[in-house]
This record gives sequence, structure tokens and C-alpha cells, in this order.
Amino acid sequence: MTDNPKIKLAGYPLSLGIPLLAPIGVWLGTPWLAVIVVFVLLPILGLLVGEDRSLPVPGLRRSRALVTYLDFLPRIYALVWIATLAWAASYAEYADLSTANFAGLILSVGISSALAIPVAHELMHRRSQVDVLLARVMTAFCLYGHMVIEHLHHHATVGVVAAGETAPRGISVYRFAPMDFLQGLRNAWRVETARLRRCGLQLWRNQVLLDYALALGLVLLFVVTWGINGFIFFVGQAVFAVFVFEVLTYVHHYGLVRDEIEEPGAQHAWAHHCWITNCLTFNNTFHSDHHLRPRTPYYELHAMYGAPRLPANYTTMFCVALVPPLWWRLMDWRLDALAEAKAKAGELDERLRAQHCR
Amino acid sequence: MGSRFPDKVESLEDANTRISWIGGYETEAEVEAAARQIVEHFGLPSFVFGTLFRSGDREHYRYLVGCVPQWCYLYDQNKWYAIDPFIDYALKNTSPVLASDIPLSSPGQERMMAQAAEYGFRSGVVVPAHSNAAIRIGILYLGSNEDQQHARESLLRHRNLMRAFALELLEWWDANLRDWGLENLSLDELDLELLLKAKEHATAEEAACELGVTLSRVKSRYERLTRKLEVSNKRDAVEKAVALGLISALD
Repeated sequence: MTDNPKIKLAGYPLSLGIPLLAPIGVWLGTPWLAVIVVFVLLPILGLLVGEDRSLPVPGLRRSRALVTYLDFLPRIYALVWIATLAWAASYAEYADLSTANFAGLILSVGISSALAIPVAHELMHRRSQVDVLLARVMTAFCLYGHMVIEHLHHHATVGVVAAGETAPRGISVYRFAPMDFLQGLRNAWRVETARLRRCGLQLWRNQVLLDYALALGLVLLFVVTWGINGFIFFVGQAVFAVFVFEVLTYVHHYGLVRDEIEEPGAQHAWAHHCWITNCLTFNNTFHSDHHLRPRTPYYELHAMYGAPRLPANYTTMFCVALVPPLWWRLMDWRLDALAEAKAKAGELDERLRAQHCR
Repeated sequence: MGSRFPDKVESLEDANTRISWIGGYETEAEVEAAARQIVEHFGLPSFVFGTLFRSGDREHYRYLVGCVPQWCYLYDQNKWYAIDPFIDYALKNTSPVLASDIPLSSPGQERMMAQAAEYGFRSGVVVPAHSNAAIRIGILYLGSNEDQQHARESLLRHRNLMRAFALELLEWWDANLRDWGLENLSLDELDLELLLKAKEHATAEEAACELGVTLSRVKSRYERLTRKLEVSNKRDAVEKAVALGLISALD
């Protein structure tokens, strides 16, 4: 099943179920449902379903209907997710929720917001200005107004520790996440101010500023419409989403530092090919391929030879990253193996990788 | 597509419609077929539409031909574009004018005009067309084997339509230049984005960060671009890209 690319095409809409887990959980009387499904059931399901061995459908672009379907899925996700946010804020305000259930609701919706950032990432790389605008609106909902500008900067500086996004070996995720967020903001601000100065544009054309203004507008909208609970919910889901995204950035790039003379390659991002996670994240797990072909749509990305492999899927590694000693124990010897292979062969040695990195 | 039009342009309205449709044609053959009908209506059945763009010290020409092909061959072989008095006129003027009203200033020009008369341009009208890039202009030559009076009457009657015709041809050419340039120079979207960044005076590092590509890739692309565009630096590459219609002067 996991080597059939057509089944994979049918698997992508599974992602639309993630935002719906929150209302389903409420309906079932378990606001924590999404947390349980994503962090407990999905890793197990991922193991059962197995690895994604499929390649992109050959000649897929010849089918306009198929391309339209695949292009529309991230946009549909955006709409479903935004609708869920509005519903959840309204529910938080009008239902008499206990603190635990309110926290469960925030985290459940926060999970779909965390997934919304990779979806926005897919949209921001497209040529259509409508998609880019949608991506900017989505990041504003997550109070992550500098994400779009910063991400392009990231592509230019993959593996450069000083530029952020690549966690140096030995740093914990708790130190990395706030540091990277602020570094990203500084990067985006620098890129935008340089562009404005060069083009003779005024400050209000600064995209970072505009996106944060939009974010502020959304906060006000939630406060005015759904009161203090709407405010707590909105900020809570956004902070959680950004934190999850920062953890995933940590997981993606931990320790994979690039020399100045080295071209970015498959070896500068950790990959994992769990079929379920690939479908849910629109192939965000094929991160190595994405670095090399940033404009390539998600449905044409694939596993890359030479990309180092994570020992488990995203959700499992997310949990591992939250326990730094466990993370270092699992990952640091893999970095040693990679460094050893690189020193010996000048590039990743497949046999050594097979021996140490599986 | 041709079946949606009458075979002949018989009225001012027909001519106007035919001219306004030029922008929608996809191939040079379609434009040429429409142009032949329009110039018949003007009573000046031979035409050449030339575009000239300058890049640094070099000039580039492209032609749409609706006359005896031998004339263009002769024109090219004799490099008459270097002394063509009509190009000189079009560079400095915008009004349509009778070809005979443009003074000839050298024996070479007289020889050129004598040859032109034998190939369908005994009398004619010159219509300049100016684009949004000062370095690119269009020149429409309309000619016939009738005497000067015939061309004069045609100019009086169709002056505005002739202008509109020349501008539509130039706009069509501009729109198609980009595709032509992209195909012939094997450029892709990243090349165009880099040219736009260079036009904004972005450094290679700034272009890399804003476009999401590495600095080394940006540098190697700029080197390749200057080689493909046959210029020596980024500034000249931008100038030539504008001239070739690859990027807009207004972007």
C-alpha cells in the first residue's frame, strides 16, 4: 500500500481531519481527543502502516483535474482550520469549561494550528500571490508574522548556525525555541528593511510589520467577539503552534551544520518517511528534497538518497525533543556517525549510514 | 480563429476591430495575416514593421514583414538599417509622416530609396511607435507602387488608425519578446527574479535572502546571465533584459 503513489494521493485529505478532531472531541466529551490521537495513536498507527515507499505519480501534471485537487487541498485545510478557530473561540466563551477542558481545547486546536504552519509554508512557496497572501493570513493567525520572510532567508542560509533555524549540537529545545524565534524575527526585519531602503518604500510597506499588524487585528477581533476567553484561546493556540513549529525546526536541522564552502544538500536536514505523517503534513517530512527544490509542490517531493534519517516519526521525535537528555542520547551518536562518514568519504557513506542511522 | 473575421476589411469599423484584436493573437502568422488585411484597407499594401532596441552600444532589430521578401534580404545584406533615415526620424518623432517628406542626406540613402521603390515602396508612410522603455521603439513602413499623392491621401484619411495599428503591433511584439527571450536564451523564472532584484540594486546576498536561494547559487546564476545576455556586468544585464522585454521597465 505504501508504495502505491495513487493511494498516497487519496491519503493527503487525511490532514483535513486534524482540525476536526477538536469539535469531535468536544462532541464526544473529550476535549483532549486531538492530543491523544496525535501523540499516542498516530505514532502507533505510523508503525503499523509503515514507511512511505511511494514516488510521485509519473506525469501527474498532465492531469489538470488531479493537479487542481492537490493544489486545493492546502487551501481547503486553511479554510477548515480558520473555521475551527472561530468555532473553538466561540465555544470557549459560551460553554462553561473547566480549566482542564479549556486547556485541552487550546491544545487540540493548537495542534491543527501547528500543522497550519507547514501548510502555510507550502502555500508561501507558490507563485500565485493569492496563495502567498493566504499563507501570510495563516501565519498571522499563529502570531508568527515574520515566518514568510524568514523562511526564504532560511533557504539561503540552510545549515548556518549563526543564521538560526539550525540548532547546534548539545543545545536543548527549550533554549533553541525562543532563541530561534527572536533570531528569525531579526533576520526577517533585516531583510525587509534592506528591501524597503533599496526600493525607496516607506515603513508601512514592511511585510513583517504588516503581518504583525494583521495578527494584532485578529487578536482584537477575537477579544471583541469572544471576550477574555476568546483572547486566552487565541493567544494560547498561537503560542502552542509556534512552539511546536520551533520544536519541529529543531528536529529537522539539529546538528546538521554546513561549512561555508559547502552547498546545501540532502545531508542538511533530518528526514523521516512515515506514510501517515507524510500525508498529514503534505510531505513536509521530505525536508531535504524541499531544501533543494523549494518551489516544487508537495506532491512532487520524495525521499532523497543521502538524507540522514530520524529514528522515529515526527510526533514521536517531537516528544523525545521535549526530554533533552533522551534527545541527545538518541541523536548525538548519529551526528558522530555522519561526521565520521563525511570525514572518510567526503560525503555520506551509504553503508555507514545503513549501519548507524537506521 | 480566422473564420471569425471577414476576409476583407471594408470599413473603418472593420479596420478598428481588426487592429484591436491584434493583442490577442498568439502567433506571428496570425498577426501578419491580420496586418495584410489592414494595410489593404489603407491602400498601402506593402508593409514592414520593425522594432529596434538599443543595449549599450549595440542595436537589435526584429521585423514583421508584409512585402516582397527580396527587399528585406537586400536591406539586411546592405546593412541599410545603419543609415535608414526613417529610423532616425522615428527615434526623434512620434507623428506619422510621408516617407517623401523625410530628407535624404547621403548617396547611400538615395540608393536605398531607389531600391525600395522597385520592391513596393514607391510611395509610403512612416509611423513611429514608442514603448514604455525608451530604448525600444517600433517603426511601421507602409508602401505602395502608386505615386506620392496616393500615400498623402491615405495618410490624411487613416492617420489615427495607422498610429493605433503601429502601437498595437509594438505592444504585441513586447508581449511576445519575453517568451521569445526566455526560450532563446534558456532562462527560467529564477533568472527573471534575479534580474528584477538586480534592477532594484539588491546585492547578491540580499537577493539570496529574499528569494530563498543560496549565495553561491545567486552568484553563479548572475555569471551565467551576463554570459547569456552577452554583457559584462549585472547593470548591463538588467538594461538588456528590459530592452528584450524580459523584465518590465516599470517593475
